[in-house]
Amino acid sequence: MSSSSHTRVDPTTVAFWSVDESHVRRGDPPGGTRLAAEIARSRLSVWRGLLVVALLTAVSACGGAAAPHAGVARTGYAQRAAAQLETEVLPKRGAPDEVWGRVLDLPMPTPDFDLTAADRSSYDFARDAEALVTLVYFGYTSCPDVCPTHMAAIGRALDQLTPVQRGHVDVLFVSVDPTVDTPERLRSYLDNFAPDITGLTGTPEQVNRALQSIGLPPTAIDADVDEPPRHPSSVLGYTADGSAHVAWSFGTTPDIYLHDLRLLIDNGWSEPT
Amino acid sequence: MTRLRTRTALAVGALALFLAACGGAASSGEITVTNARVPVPAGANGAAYMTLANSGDGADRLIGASTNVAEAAELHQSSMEDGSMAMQQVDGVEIPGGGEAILEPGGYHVMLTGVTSDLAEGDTVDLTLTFDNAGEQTVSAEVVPIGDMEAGSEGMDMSSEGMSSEG
Repeated sequence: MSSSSHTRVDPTTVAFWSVDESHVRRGDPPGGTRLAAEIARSRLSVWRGLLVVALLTAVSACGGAAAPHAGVARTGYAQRAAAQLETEVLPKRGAPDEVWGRVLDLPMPTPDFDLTAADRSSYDFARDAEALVTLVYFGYTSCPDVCPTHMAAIGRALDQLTPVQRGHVDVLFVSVDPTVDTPERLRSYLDNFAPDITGLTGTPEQVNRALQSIGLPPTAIDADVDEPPRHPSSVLGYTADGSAHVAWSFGTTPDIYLHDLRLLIDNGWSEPT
Repeated sequence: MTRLRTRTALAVGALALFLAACGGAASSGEITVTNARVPVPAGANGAAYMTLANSGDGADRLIGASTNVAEAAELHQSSMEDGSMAMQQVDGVEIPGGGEAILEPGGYHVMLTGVTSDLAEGDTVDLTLTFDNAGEQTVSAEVVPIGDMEAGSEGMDMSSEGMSSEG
């Protein structure tokens, strides 16, 4: 869980040249200079190092390098981060100051969301998730089994937070069956679990873009598809730094969500020691 | 999904005895149904879970279900592949001779499509199950709060395996 490959380097910058993250030491600032130095120390050729520096200079000149959703660089990294979710890791009750859910070696990048909430307002992830602990789950309201199990566990955990803590967390249920799941249908479904779970919908293309923005397969479906949609089995935990460092697999119990939510709300994200 | 472990079998046996004493177990032929439950709240579709124990030597199969609280009852399986969950209809659920099949969240379930009744905790749902060999039997599934599913055998297995043994 707490392997040495956690990285604080802006993941999107790393993705440029596919450096193995294990070269990057924990606690490095996201600045390009330090990163370039790290790369120079690693066994990359001088030419590649030069190319990297040139790229960094070019990108920072555009002012786009610091944003975790700088589109050009994301794809490779996001897909590798999402690939971690292909293996299920069950939560593990540990020390009180540790996250009990799965700590991702490669944090998931900020998703690109511009979807519609139950009150028909638009939800922009970069804007609306800022400074909150934001749980992200992709599901659908006709899902009889996996989705309500996750949502019920989260709803129970939310109920045990203080009102102040609860004000610092948002839970997003993003529909992968968006033509069926209208904002109203999502609202009445989610009210079963907690009134402050945010249901999000859009066109299948919009939801698929949201999925792909964090490297997940575009499994949102149109109404005329007969098969139920596939969807990621884990809930992702985004913190104020714009990354999801934690994922909770199917079967996570309310006490584990509660423990982790309290920790992330009160302390923010900090690297495991 | 199909478990043959002795410990589990013993636990199920004990549970079956306990439930039988309470009048909660139904038996038909050689299939004993225990822990039948329908969690709420659910959406338009619900799910019924249960444990099917086969005391006979030969395998049997659950091949169908019906209920009067939903438009249809179908056998479905949720399965995870490459980190994503998918649900699909299945023809049947195998119950090995002398073994059991567990219908549980994240695995097999009887999907109640288009739930027509307003199900509340404490209600019971009549569920008619059809088996290849054992024929039909109607069981009474309890409507339970959804989080309580962890009290089922799999949930207990999972949390105990998920816990570190002080390491």
